[in-house]
Amino acid sequence: MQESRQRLLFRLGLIVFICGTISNIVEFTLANTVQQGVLVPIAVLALIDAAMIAYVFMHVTQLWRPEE
Amino acid sequence: MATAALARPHASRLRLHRLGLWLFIISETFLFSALLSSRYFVLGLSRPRELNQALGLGITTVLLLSSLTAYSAEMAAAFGRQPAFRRNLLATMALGSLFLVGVGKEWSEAFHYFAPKTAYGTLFFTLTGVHAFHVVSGLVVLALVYFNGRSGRYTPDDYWPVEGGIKYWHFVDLAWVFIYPTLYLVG
Repeated sequence: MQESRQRLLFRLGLIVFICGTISNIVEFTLANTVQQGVLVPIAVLALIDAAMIAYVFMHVTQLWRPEE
Repeated sequence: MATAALARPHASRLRLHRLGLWLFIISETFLFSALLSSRYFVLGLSRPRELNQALGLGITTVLLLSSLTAYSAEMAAAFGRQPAFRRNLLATMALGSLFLVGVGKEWSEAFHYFAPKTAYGTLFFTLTGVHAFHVVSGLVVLALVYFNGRSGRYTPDDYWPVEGGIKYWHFVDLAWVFIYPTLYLVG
């Protein structure tokens, strides 16, 4: 039970890392191919990255979740 | 019932610790927000073409990977897997150091293209410098956690220093998520 929970949590972290890396590559590609108007899509991608880090890695929900 | 009553003071303390750390992180966010917005205020959407974007992407990936190993270290501490905790924490520190080497290389290249006294130079060196200082302080905290953890000080019931230090490390990564596009990509 505990073993499978550990595996699940690690997989979740791995997904965040992979999504973050893909997002960085997309930002890089956008900046080098699109001439104008890259600020908004890059900002959106950065915000999604930040939200994933805060939610999964930093466990922000612990702040308002009831005590376990 | 009695166990729950005994556990409550510890849980309340933990909540206070977490709240305090988040308040600190929010105050740090204001610092980075001010620095990031000053870049757009001074330079608008322009940037020098000489910046090494590939190196920027590389060190961004290294920092993100260090967040994954830090997360794994925290999970290992939470489940009482001491060897995995120490291994992942060491990997995090190694990746953090590699990130600093990358920033150092970027600085040595950047000095050739724009002096620190120019507008972009001031913003570039200030932002990356303040962030690098946070990385160094994060490494010091993680090293302290590692040395305390070697003696088995942290248990699944009480590992707040691990959680706090690693949360701070994730914040350092989170700040870079915005610094990287602001300095290297936008414009």
